[in-house]
Amino acid sequence: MDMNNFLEGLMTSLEPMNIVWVIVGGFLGTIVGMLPGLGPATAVAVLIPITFGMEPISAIILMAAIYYGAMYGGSRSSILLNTPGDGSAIAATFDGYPMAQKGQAGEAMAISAVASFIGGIMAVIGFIFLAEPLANFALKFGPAEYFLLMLLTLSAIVSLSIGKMIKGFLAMSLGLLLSTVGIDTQTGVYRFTMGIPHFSEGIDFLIVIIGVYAIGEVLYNFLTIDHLKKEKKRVGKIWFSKEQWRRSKWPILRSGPLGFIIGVLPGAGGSIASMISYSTEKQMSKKSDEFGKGAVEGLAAPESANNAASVGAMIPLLTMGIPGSGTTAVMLGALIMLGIKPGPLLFENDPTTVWSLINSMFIGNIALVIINILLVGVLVKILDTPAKVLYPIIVLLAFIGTYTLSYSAIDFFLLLIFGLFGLMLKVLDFPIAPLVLALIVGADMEQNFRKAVLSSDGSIDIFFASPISITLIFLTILSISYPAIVKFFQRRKARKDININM
Amino acid sequence: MLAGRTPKLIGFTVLLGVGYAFIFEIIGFLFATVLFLGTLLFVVNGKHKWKVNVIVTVCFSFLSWYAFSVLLGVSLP
Repeated sequence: MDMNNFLEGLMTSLEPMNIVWVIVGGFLGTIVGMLPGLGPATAVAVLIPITFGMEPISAIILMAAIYYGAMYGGSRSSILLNTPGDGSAIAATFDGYPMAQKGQAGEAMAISAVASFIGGIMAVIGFIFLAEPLANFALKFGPAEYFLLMLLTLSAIVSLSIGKMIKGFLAMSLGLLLSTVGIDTQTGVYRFTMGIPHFSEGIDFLIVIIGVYAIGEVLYNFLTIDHLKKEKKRVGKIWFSKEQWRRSKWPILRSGPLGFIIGVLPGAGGSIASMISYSTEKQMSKKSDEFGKGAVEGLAAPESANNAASVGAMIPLLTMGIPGSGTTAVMLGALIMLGIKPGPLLFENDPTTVWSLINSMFIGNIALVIINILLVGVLVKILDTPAKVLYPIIVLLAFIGTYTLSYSAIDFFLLLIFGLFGLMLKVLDFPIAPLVLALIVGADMEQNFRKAVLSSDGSIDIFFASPISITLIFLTILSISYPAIVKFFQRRKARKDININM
Repeated sequence: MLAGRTPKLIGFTVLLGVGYAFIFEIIGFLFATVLFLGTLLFVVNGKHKWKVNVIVTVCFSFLSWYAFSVLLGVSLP
């Protein structure tokens, strides 16, 4: 690690304006993340336009603050309303909501904020030590390796769509198909433009993202809009007891590194990290029967893990330009719009941006834990604002955001089409992350494939030419067959159990 | 699942969006937004809460217009 770059980044992130942006972003992210049914992906997608015209460094700091602010906020609605905003906040409902029902909403929110804070800080420290070596390693990657890495990411996200692998695969294929629309840059051929000149430059993936995550999610929430429970939760004191801390501190400290590592892996993100940490703690705990009934460590552990994972997921995003989850795919879209090209060269060409971002995450996590504990009264009030008022505002923000992308109201039609498309996917229970991820990496993946094949005069041997490639292929095969392997072992175990019983 | 007023809400939102797209560049951002957000709020939030709807519509339309065209320098129609 270069100390100079680190210090320069620290100084930049401590500039008063940037501190203001971190707080603004964290606060806005918390609010959108708190809305029932809306998560970090929606928060980032809807708030992209506010970075318009900002300096790139401030903008990236703001976007990141919105992202992890929404992670903090997501658990508020899990605890108070039992409605998680996205996958990574599901685990917080298992014990957070029972705690709130027992009148411990204040304690639950305090411990979740502190756990998120500790997990986040641990992950930022991990980030500092892991990011640069990983970026240097990624410099060894040629087009063939990049193609295989993207293949691995896509296959991992499909096989991790637990229980709906086929739907995940279909969603991913649709994303890849959409990414091919437009003029092919190498041959000049018009592909799938259906004679519509507007499509010749391709479909802007930000419109798809805003459509699916903002319009689609709001329309989906219309399904339950008249059934939203209006529960007044007494928010007691906003701190936790010594006993609660004693029970939570080790689960928090264990789940931080666990979540971080899972976040760095391709395809896995906050949802998987929090689920794994929850089940690990449940297995390790002597009081495992209390889990699901308001055990404080059952809330603290996944909260620490999902925040750590959200920071860890930024590593492959920044060092290789490859997002590992739906939400980081949205982040990548935001970065590209800001003119920042993530990848190994970012660390060489623009170290100040990277290190400012990393340092701002320290400040952001401190700011968020303060916001979430001191302002908890205000936040609960905001949660009381009827969703019926907030959803129309989100819809409007989606339209404004779309307009700022291309200054054309024609894109509103595309926005609506993808909003309805997103609604359809949600209703039919398709995972959306594989679609978004495939759409974003699709064009790059294709280019890398063609470059690789060109450089080897048309032979596909190039994909087996280096140890890195072979490792990636092996991991891809492993990730595809992972569900089958798990099933095989479960079956064998079940058979053994039967034998023992007989 | 698609029971009650949900299909109506979804249909209205989409139709309003289409209308918004048509009038956006003709009557300008501010008026189009007041119409769009106002109607959407009346449909989603209900007529009897008209005070909230009007206040939110006017404040939010003006704020977003101010933020984008004055503070951020986006050229809005």
